[in-house]
Amino acid sequence: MTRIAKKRFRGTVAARRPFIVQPLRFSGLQLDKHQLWYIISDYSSFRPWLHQMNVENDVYGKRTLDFVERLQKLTKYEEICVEIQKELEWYGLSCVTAWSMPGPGRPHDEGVLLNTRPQEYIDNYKEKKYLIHDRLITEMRQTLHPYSWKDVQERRKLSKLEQKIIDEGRDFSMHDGLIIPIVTMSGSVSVISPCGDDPDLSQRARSALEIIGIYSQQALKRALIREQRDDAAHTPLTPREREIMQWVAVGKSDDEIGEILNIGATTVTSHVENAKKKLDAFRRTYAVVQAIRFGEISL
Amino acid sequence: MIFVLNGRDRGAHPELFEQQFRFRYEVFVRGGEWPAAADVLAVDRYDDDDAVYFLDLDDESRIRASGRITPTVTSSLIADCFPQLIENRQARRAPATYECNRAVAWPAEPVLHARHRIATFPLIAAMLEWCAAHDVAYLQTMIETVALSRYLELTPLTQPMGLSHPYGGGRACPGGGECMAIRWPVCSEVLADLRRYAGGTPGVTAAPAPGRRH
Repeated sequence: MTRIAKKRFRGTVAARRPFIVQPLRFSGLQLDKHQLWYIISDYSSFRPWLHQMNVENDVYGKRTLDFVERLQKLTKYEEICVEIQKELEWYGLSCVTAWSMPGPGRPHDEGVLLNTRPQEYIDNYKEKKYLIHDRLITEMRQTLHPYSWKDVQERRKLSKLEQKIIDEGRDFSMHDGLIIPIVTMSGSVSVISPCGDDPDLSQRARSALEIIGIYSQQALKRALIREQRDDAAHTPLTPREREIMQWVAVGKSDDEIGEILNIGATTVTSHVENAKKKLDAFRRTYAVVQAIRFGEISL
Repeated sequence: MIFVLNGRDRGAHPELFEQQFRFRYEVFVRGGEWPAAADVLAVDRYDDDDAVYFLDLDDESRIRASGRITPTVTSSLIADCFPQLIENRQARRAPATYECNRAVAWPAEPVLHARHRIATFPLIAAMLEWCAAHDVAYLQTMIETVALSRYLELTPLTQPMGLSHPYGGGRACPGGGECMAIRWPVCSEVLADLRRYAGGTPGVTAAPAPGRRH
């Protein structure tokens, strides 16, 4: 073991395992030490003991690249959902949930991009507020690399509640699955979580599913944003709603707006609620943001 | 402002090339904690006359970020050393395909760090503008798989060339991870995405006059 390798592995679990650095061979090309330094220096974090897999006659690569090609041609949300489900079915993954982790104070189901888990399971999960206790989700505090349910069960000693959450999934034929965390450009985390009865989660399948997951999440997100914009174009605010939202944006209460416009406060509230629905907003503040974004009002 | 230099300009701009090779050494060797080489200039066999360099210089002509593209017909790190990353049944070398590598920024940051993105994405935008002007069909590169979603956010037309492969013992080992090859078609849609991200066409200019301060 080299001095560097020793230093890097000292004090870790890996340090206690036998570790042999093999000479590198890439497709029959034997690299000398000097050439190797050039390669590793290209990517500062790449290490010389790079694995090489035998991918000949391997369908995973071809399937995944074909899937990405098909997905890139689709623009409609429904079509994208069908394509994703069809691809995941091939791996034995019958259900999938894709969502962006909600920001602080936001409802848990706000950022859901796709959810094909059984409704009964979803309702139960939401009702019992499992999201904050689900070890399969909270494991993301430890790692942002893809992991399977079995990985978590092998890695951690689960509490009774954590085990119960997993067992309840089994009642719906969800025995194993993959959690694929996706870090976006803004630093927020999205997750795609396919699962099934007895899915193929081999190393190559995981590599394929990670790429499928990342492309799917991006395609869903783009399609939803596009449809939201299209929907907004079809449901513009009425002149009265626009006028009221303009006053909401400057911080006036419903009573104050009612006095200004010489109408009842309840009428104002009713207009605000309608505007919130049209702007797909849960709160008044977000409705103002949406109204500005869609050009309905300006500050 | 990003300056573009050709490999054959090395004689005309020795100070910029030397600064770039020292910069790489700082990032890849010292920043990457690799054993020091005898020569402190990090030069490799792909630094030939056909290579095209993109240097982002500050007001005092110091390099903030740099990258290199090479024609894959003669110089391709992926074709030479990582052929297993290409699974898209395409030729490993093609006349209209260039390869980007050695894209670095200072200070050296992990790929998921915002500063890495802010420093390197304008370089990629400049490279694609150059490719469009020189009838290049594809620009390919090797990335850490964990950064794929960011490149996809940059443009949804980012194409994988194969699945990811573990290096350094894989993600379970300290310092290990997974890498993959991607490429961008040089087309108006991709350029529009990149310009949208960059807020316009990236400021690209030909090499400055030798010995002149900018």
